[in-house]
Amino acid sequence: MPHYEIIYETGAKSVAFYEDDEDALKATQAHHLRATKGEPALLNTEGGDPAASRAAERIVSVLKYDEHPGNYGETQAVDVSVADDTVMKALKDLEVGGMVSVHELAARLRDLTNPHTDVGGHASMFKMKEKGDIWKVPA
Amino acid sequence: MAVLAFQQMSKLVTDYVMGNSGTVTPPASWTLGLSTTAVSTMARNSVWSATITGTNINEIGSTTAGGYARQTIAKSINQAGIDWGTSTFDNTTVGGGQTTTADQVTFGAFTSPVPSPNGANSWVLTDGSTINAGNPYFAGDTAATRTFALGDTEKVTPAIKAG
Repeated sequence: MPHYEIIYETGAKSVAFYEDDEDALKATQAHHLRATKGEPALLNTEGGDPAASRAAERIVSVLKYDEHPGNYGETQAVDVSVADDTVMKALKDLEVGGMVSVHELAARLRDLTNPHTDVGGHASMFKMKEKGDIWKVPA
Repeated sequence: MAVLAFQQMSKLVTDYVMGNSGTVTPPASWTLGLSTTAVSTMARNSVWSATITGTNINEIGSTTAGGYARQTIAKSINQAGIDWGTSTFDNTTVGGGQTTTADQVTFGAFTSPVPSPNGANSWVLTDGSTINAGNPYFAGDTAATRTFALGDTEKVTPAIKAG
């Protein structure tokens, strides 16, 4: 089930499911071409729809994954050793006067299954490692 | 624009927040889907389904994805990725409450053959990436029916009020 993360010049990102790379390139290049011409992002809009004036965005990269990258951590279970390391580090980081907030500790553990990074810009927003890229504008 | 909070969202409040349940728990992250179903035909106990009947919620792209996939929203506030903003409070007794708005989410770019079914009438805050599956939590109507063509993208900025 190939999924693709599309990273736009604006910093916006989306995930799309295509049958294959050819299908992915057809869609993303069609959108990118519209952006280069200053055309709208959505063609079939009804009268008065505010989306009618939204312009297409240039695309800077298209990353490929074997599955939806949001599936990372979906089971909300982690390896015991990973949980152990996280708790030990959190106890050191969060300890104040020999006490630790259980909510802050729990938040550190919960974040292990968060599929997102906290990196912005033109980097991937997912922790799952992509299989590769099928389109990348040179930096 | 009609909006609706579904049963699972209410259960998270009663069971997880109030009762510290270990079985009724929030997902690792939220996902946002597009539905052909208008909020006016949904109910608090609606479920995702490919079968269009009663109060079922039908997702676009179930027969032919056409570039459609659910988008993710992190369970965090004001981080670099797509997540929730700082919540605000409206003290109005009727209709007020605490509101949070997520970063704008992008769908597409759609390809050809286009998604089937096509024509989004609502967005649904849900969980998981499988089409027509998972728990619905909130829904809101789109500004207009959106029928997607090759190269289109769609933007949704979900705002949630707990009142």
